[in-house]
Amino acid sequence: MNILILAAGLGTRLRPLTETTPKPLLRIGDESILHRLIRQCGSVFPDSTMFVNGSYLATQIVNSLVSIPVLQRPYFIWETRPLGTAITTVRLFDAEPADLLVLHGDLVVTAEGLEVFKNHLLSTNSSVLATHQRQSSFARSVVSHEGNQVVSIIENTARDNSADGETVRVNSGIYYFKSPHLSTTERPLPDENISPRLLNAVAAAGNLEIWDWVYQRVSVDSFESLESATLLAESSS
Amino acid sequence: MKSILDYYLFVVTVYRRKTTGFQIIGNLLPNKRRFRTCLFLDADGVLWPENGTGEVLRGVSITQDARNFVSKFINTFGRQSRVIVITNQTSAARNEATVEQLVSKLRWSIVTRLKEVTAIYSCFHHPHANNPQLRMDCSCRKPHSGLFFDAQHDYKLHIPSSVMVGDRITDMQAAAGAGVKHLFIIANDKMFTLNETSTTPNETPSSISFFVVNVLDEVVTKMQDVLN
Repeated sequence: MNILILAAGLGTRLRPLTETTPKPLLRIGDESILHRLIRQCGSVFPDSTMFVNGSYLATQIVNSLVSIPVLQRPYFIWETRPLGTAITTVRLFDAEPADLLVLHGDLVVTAEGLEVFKNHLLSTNSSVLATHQRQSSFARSVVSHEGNQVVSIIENTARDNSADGETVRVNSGIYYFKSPHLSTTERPLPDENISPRLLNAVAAAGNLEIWDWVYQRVSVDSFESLESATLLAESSS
Repeated sequence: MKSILDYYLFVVTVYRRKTTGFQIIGNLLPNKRRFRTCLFLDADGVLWPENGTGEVLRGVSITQDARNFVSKFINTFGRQSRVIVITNQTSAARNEATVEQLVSKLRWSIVTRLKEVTAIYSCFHHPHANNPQLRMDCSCRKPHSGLFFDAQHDYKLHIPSSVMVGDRITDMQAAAGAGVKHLFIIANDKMFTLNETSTTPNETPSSISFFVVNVLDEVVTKMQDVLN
């Protein structure tokens, strides 16, 4: 299995912190978000090959990888220009055809959650999207589903305050693509993102199921979430 | 008298081993006797430490680490594999030496010290060369991939299973442009820089996947890990 950690984002919502440091290298506790994720993936998926992509401030990410022991160190995909996450994913799959776990590079999760997710992957023939419940006013990537099967993902950047209080299921930033499902998907265009483009393509073929991520997780996309990520990292280390 | 253009895509065949057997190691070597896996090496910064420019003229010695690495690579991946040095040398373009002197220095610095090396491919051009005969925007100067294609043609190399070790992102660009999949950039104690603002040559893929190593020995370790 291959693991791709997406670390090429600009991190605009965390400026000015991300003007000099790429978001995945922001420190939470003793280590950076990226290094924590690599360490956790290395211990939960020991037989996998890891890849990290980067474009914005990529030099810093590359130089930071040197501190990771060689057998746990990921390959680095330098995007000479930003490509869009869907193309990065499909190109990696084309070069290294295998089941592919894709993680956002700003995720802070517990190893326990990853372990249970891994056990679920062994028991399914579908591609899997991890989701969690969130208030609709804060939801940015809403998953509509019938039972366990994903129907579509809707990206919503504008906050809808009218339905405040209602909870919806949202994308957790953890995707698992089974090899046959990626190979039959139409190749994405430049600048298209995994969500909704690639996920919807897999869902439309009836190959995507949701998995409820009930464990602690923080996606670092604001100053408040950076604080909660630090607390989570300190409490679970 | 040789014309200076004879050195365009210059090939110095320095040593050709007699191969006495055929060895297949894991999946790395293609199952065809005709096509061989190859270890491509940059010279400055890999075979010897880089300190500015013109090291070859000043006299360099290949580090013990580099010698150990090359022999370990050959021992691990079979004597069927080739070792080819691909380097940009601009001293002649800056009128600090003639091409003949550079060739002789390269031959002396590498061949006599590292018998595993099959060939050295060097580009002597520079787009802003002082020497007008070497002033050209050639296809052989890294990050362009011309020298890799030449080596592939001359030695019947199996490029997808080949390995490139360099100390600059331009080495990675050149090798990736030729289709080399196993790319290693040596960071050791210096921090290399990705020239993120410069335009990249046309043949460079829009994304390049490589592995960062601290010391050369890690290349063999990682390749064994990849094969397992």
